[in-house]
Amino acid sequence: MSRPPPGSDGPRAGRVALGAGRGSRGEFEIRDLAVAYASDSGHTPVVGGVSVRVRPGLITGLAGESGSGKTTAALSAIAYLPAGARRLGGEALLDGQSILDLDRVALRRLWASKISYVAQDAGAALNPARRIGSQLEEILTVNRGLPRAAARLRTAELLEAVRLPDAARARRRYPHELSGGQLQRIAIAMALAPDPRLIIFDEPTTGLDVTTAAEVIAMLGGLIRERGLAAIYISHDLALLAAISDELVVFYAGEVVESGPTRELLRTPRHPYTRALLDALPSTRRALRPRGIPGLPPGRVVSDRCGFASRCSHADARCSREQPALVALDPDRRVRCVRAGELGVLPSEAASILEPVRARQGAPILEVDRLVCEYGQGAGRIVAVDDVSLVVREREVVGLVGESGSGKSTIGRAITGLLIPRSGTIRWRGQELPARGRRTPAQYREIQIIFQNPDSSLNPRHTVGHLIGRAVALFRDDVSGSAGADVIAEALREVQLDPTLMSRYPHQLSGGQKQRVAMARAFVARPRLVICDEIISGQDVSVQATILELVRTLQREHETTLLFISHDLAAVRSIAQYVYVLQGGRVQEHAPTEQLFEAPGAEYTRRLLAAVPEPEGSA
Amino acid sequence: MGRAVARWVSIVVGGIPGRVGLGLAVGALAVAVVGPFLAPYGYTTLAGPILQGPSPTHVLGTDQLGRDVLSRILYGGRSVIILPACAVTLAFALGGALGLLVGYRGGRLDQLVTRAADILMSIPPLLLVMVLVIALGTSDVVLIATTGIWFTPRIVRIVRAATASVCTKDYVLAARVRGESTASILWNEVTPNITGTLLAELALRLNYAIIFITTLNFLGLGVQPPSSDWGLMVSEGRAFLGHRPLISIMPAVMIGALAIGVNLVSDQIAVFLARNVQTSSRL
Repeated sequence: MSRPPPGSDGPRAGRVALGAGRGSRGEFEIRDLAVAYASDSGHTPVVGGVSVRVRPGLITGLAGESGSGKTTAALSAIAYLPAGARRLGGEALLDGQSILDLDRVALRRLWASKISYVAQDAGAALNPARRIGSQLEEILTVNRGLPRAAARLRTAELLEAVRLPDAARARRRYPHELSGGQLQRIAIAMALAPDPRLIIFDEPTTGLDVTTAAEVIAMLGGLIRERGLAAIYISHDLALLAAISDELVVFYAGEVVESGPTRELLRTPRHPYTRALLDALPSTRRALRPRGIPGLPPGRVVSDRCGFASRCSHADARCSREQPALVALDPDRRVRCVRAGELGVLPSEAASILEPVRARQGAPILEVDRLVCEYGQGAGRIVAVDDVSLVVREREVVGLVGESGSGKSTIGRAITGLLIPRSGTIRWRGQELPARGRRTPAQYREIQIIFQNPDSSLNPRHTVGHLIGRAVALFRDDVSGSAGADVIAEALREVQLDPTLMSRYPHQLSGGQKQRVAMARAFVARPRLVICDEIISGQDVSVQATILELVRTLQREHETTLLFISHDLAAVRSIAQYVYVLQGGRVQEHAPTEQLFEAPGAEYTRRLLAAVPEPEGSA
Repeated sequence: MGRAVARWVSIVVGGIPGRVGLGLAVGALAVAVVGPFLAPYGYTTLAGPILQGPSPTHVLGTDQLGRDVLSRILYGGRSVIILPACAVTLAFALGGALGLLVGYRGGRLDQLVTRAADILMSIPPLLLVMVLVIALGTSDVVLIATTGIWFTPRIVRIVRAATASVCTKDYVLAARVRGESTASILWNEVTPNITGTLLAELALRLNYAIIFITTLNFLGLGVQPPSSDWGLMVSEGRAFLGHRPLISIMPAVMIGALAIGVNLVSDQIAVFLARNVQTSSRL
């Protein structure tokens, strides 16, 4: 691409900033930042009095549920305000230079040369019509004014630094020819290219497989330390932040509620919200029942009381009267809770799973025998499921784990009849299910599926009542016309939703509520088997725990069998009694849950387990 | 469905072009529907001397046979509106059903129908009409059928594309897992999600149909004298354009009002859809 570099702004901006440095070099500091969204009724504060210090060579994690203000705070701190947002006060200093009052031109120079941002979806940040190499080089030729030969040399170095396998060939590829993990590495290389002082990572490994994510994270940590960059890592996943960050800042309702060195903070959490986030995490190392956090974050700064009080298990009268201040416990630790002094270090409230591991006692209800499923035809044919046999027994929760491309969802689709297998049989209660053609009404009723994404599985044009009512009309012969509304209301109550939501449309609900509607629709049919296809991925950790809790309760009350398909090993451990591990369409190992997690037999299972990040000693 | 239509009306009224368009279209429609009851004379009545200018007895004057121009305009809207409406309804019934089916099913049937649609689309519409009119003679049925056939493949393609994109959604899969029939899936799951696209397309096609059929009438391939029809009136009056321009211009103004009105309405819907690519699911 022979585009002339528009001036040589980049290096010049760099020189100016170097002279201005007075505090510790390379440090990024946010001071008392407050941001609000303008609306018809005045403005809604979404970030309030946030002060964070990001030291060079360290990764500072910003934690919190979605709607806690962590991303808005981070982006506002680099003057990249979301549309409609306004800074009410505060400042941000990079290398000792105040950056929030810079004009557009200076700001653009600053962004181009000293600040990088890595988004969740790396593929979207790359131009699909241009080769990787030329996109990387462009940053260097345009931003830094390097000649092309030098730029090429430097990009080779960068791709080396992010440990992209076969970097020389990847340069000539187009984005769609690379995997998600490779694209994320390239996005990181792009972020490093201008040699920035500050990098902001916004959930960059969310879409990646566990093993890939573990590699990317290990690589990132090394790079940040080596190069002495200041880094902010935004995530809702405390386990991940425990693995990658050095400092941790927990956000709630647009404010910092607790901060400190990551290991210490997670070992001795002082704010009930930090504790609740930790308790919501399932574990691969211990048999734990994660606890959900009831309710939703307020989505704005709450000024007359503690914003977390309504969801807090430690709240007392004071919490709903006064707004707690952020108090320094020692030079490194800060906490915002009026009861912090009396409560001390908060112990875990997640329950251990006490029931003994039962032998598989129920009668086999579903038997999959030598299943082979393929996509496409001829040379482009992909074998998604390759000779898989599995047995699910009555009233059992069976986990199906594997990374993307392992064929786990394909198996679920074959069982529901959405996909015609190439060969093999699926027997349901002793009878072979027809591979093509219609099933009996009883079979349709008995096998239900809950999909990953309720935005897609709930028709946006129908009300909640209509969505559940359709299943009632089809499957509940015992319900006569007028009793339908009562059954729908009951189904909503079962998933802990208010029956008044019946007249709402899906877009009027939160993500967790939508998934519950999908669950209500599946269970109202009185099924014998419910296939849960990645039902918790894409949800906040706190919501994940609530959904896990709920699906377990429903399973027990309805005496249903569950086939729990997930890439999340910890979640599977917390719910399943028996687990199948899949890789590349084949079963690598299957065993009772305890045995599989405590003494994994297959090499692949061990590798998977080793890749899952986990906060240590958080009990 | 009724509520969905009410919502779309409020969307059309939400913008100035939409409001003007709806006003023009409804005005022209009102003339066509109520006009004959208000007309001072019959459309074939020889009401006075020929080629008169406007006067209190003949507000828009008389034509070359002495018929009242105002009365003929008040009568002449029916064919302009009814024929295109029938043609578009026919095309939507055929093309919509076929598009929904092949968009949902895919496979061989899809390829067959899409190719057939391509072939039909390659035939110039005027040629098609002339062949049919010469073979079958002209009548309302022939006009409706030819216009309908001309539109059908275009509607098949649009409905098919919209359906196929909706069918990738999990709620369609969920319906299949429930064992719902194809008809029920298409009606309950797919149709509500493509209403917007369909409405924009309907308004656009109606517009094309109005212009197409008035063109046929102008060319003498459609409605025959002594029927009164705006297109035919423009054609008949053009010989006297210099002397008595109103005979041609007034029906032309009516056609324009109708066509522009329908066009503005369709634009308003299209603008709304474009602005709400992501959020249109909220309606």
